[in-house]
Amino acid sequence: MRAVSLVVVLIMLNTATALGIVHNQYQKRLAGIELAQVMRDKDILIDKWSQLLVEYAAWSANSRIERIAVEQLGMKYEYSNYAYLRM
Amino acid sequence: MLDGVIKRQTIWHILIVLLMLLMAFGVSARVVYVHVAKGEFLRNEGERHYKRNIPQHAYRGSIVDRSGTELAISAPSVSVWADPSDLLEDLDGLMKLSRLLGDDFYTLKRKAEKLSGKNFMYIRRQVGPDIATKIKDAKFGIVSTITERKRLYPEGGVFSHIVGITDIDGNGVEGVELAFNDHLQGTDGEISVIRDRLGRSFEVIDTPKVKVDGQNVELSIDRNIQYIGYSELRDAIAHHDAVSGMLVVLDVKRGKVLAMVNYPAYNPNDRGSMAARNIRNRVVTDIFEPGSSIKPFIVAAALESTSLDPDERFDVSPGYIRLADKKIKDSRNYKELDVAGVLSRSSNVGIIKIAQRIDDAILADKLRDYGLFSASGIELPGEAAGLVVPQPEWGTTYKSFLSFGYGAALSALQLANSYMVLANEGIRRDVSILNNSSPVRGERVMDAEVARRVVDMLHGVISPEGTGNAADTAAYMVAGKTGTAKKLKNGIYQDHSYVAVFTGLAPVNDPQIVVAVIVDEPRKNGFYGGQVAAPVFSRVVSRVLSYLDVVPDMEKVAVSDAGTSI
Repeated sequence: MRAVSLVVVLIMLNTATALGIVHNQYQKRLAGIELAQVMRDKDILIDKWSQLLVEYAAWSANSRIERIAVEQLGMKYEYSNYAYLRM
Repeated sequence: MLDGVIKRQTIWHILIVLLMLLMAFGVSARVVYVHVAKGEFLRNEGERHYKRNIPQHAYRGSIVDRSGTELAISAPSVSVWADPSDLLEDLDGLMKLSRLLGDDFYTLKRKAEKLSGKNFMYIRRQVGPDIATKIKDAKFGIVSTITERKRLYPEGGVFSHIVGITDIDGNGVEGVELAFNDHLQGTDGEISVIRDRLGRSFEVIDTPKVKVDGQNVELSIDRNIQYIGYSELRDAIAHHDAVSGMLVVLDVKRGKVLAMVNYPAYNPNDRGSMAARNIRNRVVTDIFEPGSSIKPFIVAAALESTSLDPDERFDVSPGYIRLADKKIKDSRNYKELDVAGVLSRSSNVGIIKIAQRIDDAILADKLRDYGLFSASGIELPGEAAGLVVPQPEWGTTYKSFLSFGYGAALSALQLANSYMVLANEGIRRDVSILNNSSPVRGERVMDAEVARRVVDMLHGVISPEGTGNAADTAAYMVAGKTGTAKKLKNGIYQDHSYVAVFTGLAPVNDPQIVVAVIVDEPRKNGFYGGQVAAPVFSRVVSRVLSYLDVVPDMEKVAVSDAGTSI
C-alpha cells in the first residue's frame, strides 16, 4: 500500500514538474516577445531623440538667433568694452 | 479439433508479431530516412518557418562641439524601393509615382529596364518626410519603403569644412567625418531569432555578429566662437568683394582649435548645391605666400642668433632697395627706424637689412623650429606641408625675399600656429581639434624673453602710426602683424590681385587666443591686410574675449571711460 502511495505521489510530482516546465517555457516566450518589443521601442526612442536633437540644434542655431535679434528686435553689436548685442 | 484451433491461433500470433515487427521496422526505417537522408533538408525547412536572421544596424556616432552640441547627427529617413519588373508591369502606377516624386517618367522607366534582371532598385533614397507620407498614403502596390539613417548637419555651412560630409551610405568622405570614420561608424551586427506564428520574435538563439555602435567625436571647436568668426568673415568678404577668406582662432593655453572658418561655405544638407571648389578645408589644405606676417619671426631669429639690439636704428632711406632686377619698396621713405619701427611700419627695407645679418642655415632652422612651413599636426585630412626652398639652394637673394614673405608658402593654420609660439613665450605645440582634457604637449623653440620682446613690438603695430591700427579693440590690448602679398598666377606676380592677412594675439599681457584672418583677392574698399583683415581681427577678438569672460585690460577701460581711445 505504501509503495502504491509513493508511486502516486511521484506521478503527481512528475506531472507538476512537467506543467511547471511548460508554464516557464510559456513565460519565457512572453518575456522574449516583450523584450523584442522593448528593443523596438528603444530604437524608436533613439530615432525620436535624434530628431529632437536636430530640432534643438536648428532652433538654437546662432544664425537664427542673430537674424531674429537684428531683424525683428532691432539689436546691434556694441564693441566698446564688452562685445554684446544691445537694444 | 482442439489441435486445429491451437494451431490456427499460433499462426495468428505469429502473423500479428510479424506484422508488428514489420510495422516497427517500417517506423524505424522512416525515422532513419527522415533524420539521416532528409534530415538537413527538413531541418532547414523547419528553421525557415520559425527562425529569422535579423540585421542590427549600428548607429553612427555624433560629432559634437566642446559644449556637447550636435554638429552632425544621424536621424531616420525613408528610402523608396521597388522590384523593377513590377514597375515595368504597371506603367500607369509608375507614371503616378514619377509625378508624385517630380521625376521624369522615362528616366525611371529606363532605370527599371536596365535593372530588370534584379529584384531590387532604389527609386529615391532619403526622401523628406512630406514625400514619404504622400507615398505611404497613396498606397502604391509596386513600391515599398525602408527606413534608413540620414546624416544631418544642424549648423549648415558654418561648420561644413570642419565636420565634412558622408556619402549617401554613411561613410565619411570629408573633414572629421572622414578622419574619424572608423571611430564614428561602428560595426553592424546580426541576430538569429525564433518567431511564433504571428511573426513575433520571442527568443534570440544566436548572435552571429555582435553590433557595436559608433562613438561620438567631441571637437575642441566652440560653436559660438565658430559663428562669430564665420559671420565676421562673411561680412568682410561681402564688404571687400573678395573671392574667399579663411579665419582661425586658437586657444593659446591648451593648443586647441576654437574656430576654423572658410568662406564661401557649402550647405552639407543639400548635396545638389555643393560646388567642388568650396568643399576643401582651405585653412588646412591650401598654402599662400604670407607677406609681411612672417617679419616677426625674422626679428625673433635675429634677436636669438645675432647681436641685434632692439633699440638699434636702421637706415631705410630712400624707401626702397634693389634686389636682383627688382625694386623692393616701403610704403614711404621712413628714413630711419628701430626694430620695433621696422615691424610697426612693416618696412621691407628694414627687415631685409635685419635678415642679412642672420646666417642662412640658422635662419632656415629657426623658421622650421617656429613652426612656419611645417605641418601643424592637426588630425584633419589633407594637411598641406609648407613650401620653402631648401636652404642649400637659397642663392643670393632668396633670404631677402623670404624676409618679407615671398618665395615661400604656408597654410593659414601653420601661420596661426607659429604665432602661438610668440603667445606661449617660446613654447611650440602641435595643434589639436579634439577636446580631450589634457593640453597638447609643447617644446621650447624660442627664448622666452625674445618672444615677450617681439610681442611688445607687435603691440606697436596696432598703434596709430602702425599698419595694423584697425586691429585695435576698445577693451583689450592686442598685438599682431599685417601682411599683404601679391598673388602669383602662372608664374607672374599680379599687380591687382592680393592676399590680405592679419595675424595676432590677445590680450597682450596674458594671451588667451591667437587669431589669423586671410582674405583672398579683395577688390573693393582697400586691399592691404591693415585695411581688410585687421578690422575682422578686431571684431572677432572683441566678441570672443568677452564671450570667454576675459576681463578687459584695466588700463584701457580707464582710458576708454575718460573718453580717449588708444
